Amino acid sequence: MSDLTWREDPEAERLLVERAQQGDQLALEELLSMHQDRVFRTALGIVGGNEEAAQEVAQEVLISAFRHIQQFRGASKFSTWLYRMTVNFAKNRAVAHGRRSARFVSLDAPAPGDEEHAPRDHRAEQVSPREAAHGAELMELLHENLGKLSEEYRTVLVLRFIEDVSYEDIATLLSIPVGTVKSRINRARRELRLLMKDHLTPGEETS
Amino acid sequence: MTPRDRFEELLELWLDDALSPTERAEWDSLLAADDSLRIEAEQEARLVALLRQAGERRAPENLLSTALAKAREPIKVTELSRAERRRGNPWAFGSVAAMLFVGLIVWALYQDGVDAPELTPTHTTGRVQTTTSDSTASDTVAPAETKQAPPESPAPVHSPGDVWRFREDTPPSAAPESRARELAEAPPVEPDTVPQDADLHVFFSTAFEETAPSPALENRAALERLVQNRRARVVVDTRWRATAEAIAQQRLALAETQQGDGLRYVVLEIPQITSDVQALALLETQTDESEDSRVVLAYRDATAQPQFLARAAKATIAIESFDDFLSHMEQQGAQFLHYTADRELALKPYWKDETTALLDARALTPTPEPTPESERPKGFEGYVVFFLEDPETAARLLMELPTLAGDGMRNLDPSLAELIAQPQGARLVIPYRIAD
Repeated sequence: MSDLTWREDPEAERLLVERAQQGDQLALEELLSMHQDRVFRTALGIVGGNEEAAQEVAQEVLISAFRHIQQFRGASKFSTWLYRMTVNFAKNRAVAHGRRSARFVSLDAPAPGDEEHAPRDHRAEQVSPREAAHGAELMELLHENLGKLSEEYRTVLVLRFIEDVSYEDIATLLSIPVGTVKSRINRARRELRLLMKDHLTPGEETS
Repeated sequence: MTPRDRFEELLELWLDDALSPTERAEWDSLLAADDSLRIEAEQEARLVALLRQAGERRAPENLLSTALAKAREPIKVTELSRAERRRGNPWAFGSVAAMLFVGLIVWALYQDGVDAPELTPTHTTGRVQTTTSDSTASDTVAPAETKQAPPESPAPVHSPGDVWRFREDTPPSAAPESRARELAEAPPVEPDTVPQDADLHVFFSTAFEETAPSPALENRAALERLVQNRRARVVVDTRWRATAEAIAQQRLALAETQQGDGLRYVVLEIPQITSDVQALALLETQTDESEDSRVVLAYRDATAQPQFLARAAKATIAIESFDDFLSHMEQQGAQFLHYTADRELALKPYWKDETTALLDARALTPTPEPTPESERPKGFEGYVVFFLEDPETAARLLMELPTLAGDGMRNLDPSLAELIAQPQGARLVIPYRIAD
């Protein structure tokens, strides 16, 4: 199946954008079709695994892109433009729903490796690692723990590791320096690892 | 820098798979010296692997179609939202007041003009002004009249002759016309920036070189001429008949296809485009009560799993006629070769240059094993054959093939026949059924 999935083709994308901006609806649909998976995944990661919310966000992004394709100037990649919208819509949604990062645990407090100060994963206490360490359940756990991170940590992790966006592109779309992106990713990854450490022991399967 | 700091630094590089050989050695020695670091590194790696695994997640099947449907809805501004907007926008009150004021002045001037039985020269001037004001007021307060004015005639097509004069042969749908107009009015695309169109240009400019209007418009004009040419050569009473002189020169016989009232089902068959996809097998129809039958493309792999169903189902590109379908395919680099009711012919690797050792044709288009009658997909009454230079593009088109409804079937464009001799590439063989 992998042979038949969409391949990254910047030239084709550029052409599609050009045609979409000239009013070619087919091109626009194709363009959005190419990116809908990543929009959805990004939204899913940022809203903490809530599929319904992710669908809402992704739909808003696609609708907005459909209506405002003319506003894309081509200064960045089309995907970066979409990512930026996704991040913004997800943030707005979180604000609208009054979600706070109450579960955010600062990494400034515990020293690296100081695991007794690590945030507790209550789910992990109820479900044994071996039970949880399989397929969808583990993925669910991942999203659940992603949801425990601050929104800015979630965002960089999702973009970097789930969407494989480069540090530079993340910096561009979040309007922060590359150095900040890297340090934020490091902290976010460390925090997530501490949350999931019981499920990341060498004997556990991640697939 | 402490060993811990160094570990953090190298860890980041390691996770990004960006360690140099020297750093790699240093990294290995760090892990070998400290078990806790090694465990931490393993956990980090597993975490990243897990995150990357989440990157395989696909969007729900109906996400895009739902979003597009919503996007196409007119933006509704409710009275409530208008009031909200007005409440927060003092200019709204100002503009209403200004409009009332202007209205009053206009009314006063008008009354002045009407009520004055004897006009002095000054009044005459005023009368003239009144008329002007009246006219201005009419333009301002009655935009609806302006909107009701007949629309401007479409811009003339910038190719010789009336490209669309054969439209009466086509179904009554207006969409193809608007599509065609879009095509005709679209700004020219530079060949060097549009490789596919450029290829098209190169090919078609050979056939239509004498009438090419200008280099800048050649791509679009070539497409237009193609359509014109195709329509010009296919008269109504032989609409469903393959006129295949050029194909015949290649010693290929085209079978006739029964006349029908329209193209209803289109499915696509690419024999062994990959090793695991043997053929299509499934044809599903979705009936929309308000319109013609719609088609959803679906595919089964060798294990009969309809794994492409979701992907194909989203390919609901609205194309109203076969001509539009052809244009769509051609814009993506597919060259229409011919149309036939003969399955064997459609799948025959006749386009392969036997003397060319570059390509093992069987790898791309093997002659299929005879399919037992009972296993044949129903509804196959004909095949449309496209040529693509790039098998990967063919694979992509497989996933993107639009659904198709409506009639307007066209046959062969003989000028494309020489493509049959192309030694490389892949063919899209698209079986279709014409409804009785």
